[in-house]
Amino acid sequence: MKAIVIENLGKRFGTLWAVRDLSFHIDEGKILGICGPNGSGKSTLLKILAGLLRPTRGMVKIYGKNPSKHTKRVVSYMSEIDYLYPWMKAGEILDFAASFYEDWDERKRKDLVNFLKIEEDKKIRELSRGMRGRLKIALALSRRAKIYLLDEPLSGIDLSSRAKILDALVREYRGQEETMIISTHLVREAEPLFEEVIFLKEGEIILRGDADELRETRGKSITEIFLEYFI
Amino acid sequence: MKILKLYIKELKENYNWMMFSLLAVIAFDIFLLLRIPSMQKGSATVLSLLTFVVLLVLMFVKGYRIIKREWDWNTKEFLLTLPLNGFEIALAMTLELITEAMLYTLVATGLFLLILSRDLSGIKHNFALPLFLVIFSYFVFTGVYAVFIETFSLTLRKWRKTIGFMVFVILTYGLAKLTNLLKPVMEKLPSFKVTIDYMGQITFQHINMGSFILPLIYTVLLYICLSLLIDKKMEV
Repeated sequence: MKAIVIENLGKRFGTLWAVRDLSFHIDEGKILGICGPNGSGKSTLLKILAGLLRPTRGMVKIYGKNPSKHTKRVVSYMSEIDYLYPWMKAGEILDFAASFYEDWDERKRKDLVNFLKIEEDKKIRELSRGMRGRLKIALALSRRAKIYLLDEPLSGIDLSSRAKILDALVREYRGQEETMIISTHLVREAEPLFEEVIFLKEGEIILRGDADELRETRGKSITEIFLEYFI
Repeated sequence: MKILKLYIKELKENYNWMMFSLLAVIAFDIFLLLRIPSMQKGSATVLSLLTFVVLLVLMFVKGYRIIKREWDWNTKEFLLTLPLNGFEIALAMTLELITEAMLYTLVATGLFLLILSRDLSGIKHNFALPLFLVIFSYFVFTGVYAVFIETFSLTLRKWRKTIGFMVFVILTYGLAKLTNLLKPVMEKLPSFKVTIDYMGQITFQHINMGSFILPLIYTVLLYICLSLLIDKKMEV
């Protein structure tokens, strides 16, 4: 079953096309890695899927529906930026989000809070950058959403914990039918998780394929292929 | 239920601002009350009317900030990923503004009447209710008007402030013209008959219901436009 279908998608800001002529689909249950340097259109694509931006042209369907209030019920989006209310306590923002989503899983939340060592009684403005990053992850993954959109989930998290956190999150806290899109320029850390990969450059797809097939046919890791394209 | 959650969030977010505004108004009116004996009769009452003007300006600033803050804090991405449509988001904001307007009107009207009774002892009147309704409707209208103007400018990518200001000027002029056009219709509405008896001198006044119904009609229209703006035009 196709979770997401994108056809001829384009988004223009003024005279600049952030993404253009993107066409692809993602099957349910897959983990797709969207890789590219800064300004390649990764965040714009995820924001369109999350319903935060409107396409200038083309079509986006999430389980057959245009991005709207209804798709927001099944899509869990984690932004790259600090997008949480600074005056709220960590626990308060989790409670606040819980009241909006029917797929919120309280047990998952508790596990994530423990695993990520989040101090729930601290105000968000008092948390370190790394801790705010962990809180954003907990917020996005405490749901049993059909689709997760994680925009640079590793930004702000210290080098030593990145691989451990990402691996545990995807393997422990994600159901088999849940689709995940991870946008990142930190390919090395995220590579082991990818089942499919898209490389974006200046808003266009320059490479797309099954991660294992790419490794096999080219005899290189995704990180090495990435470096080949972008350096 | 979800709207209620968002409304409570707005209330919590604005609690300090609301308390500060109210304390400032109360402090000003207490100062006037204490000064009454040394002031000319009636002057404290006239001065206390200033608090309505100050609160009207505060309602505008408040309305402007309610959406602007989401942009300044980058929380717009959190707000807009919630499974709510424009009507629901705008309703939560409008309800918060109504609560604030209600509180401001209660406190400012109460203090005004208190000062009036001390300042002009012996005055008898029945204008408390119409005064409350008129002030309240203008407070709510001003708040929602400011949210609409700021939301409109935030939907633009370029020349936000300039175009926003131009829309403010044009809309203000347009609403003033529309009010003039609607005057004959509004005059057909019933009026409150107000009697003011001061030392045996009786004055009669008529406060037309249109003076508070019209701002409320504009508020509803602005709310609909605001909801559509959030739904159809707003992007992060």
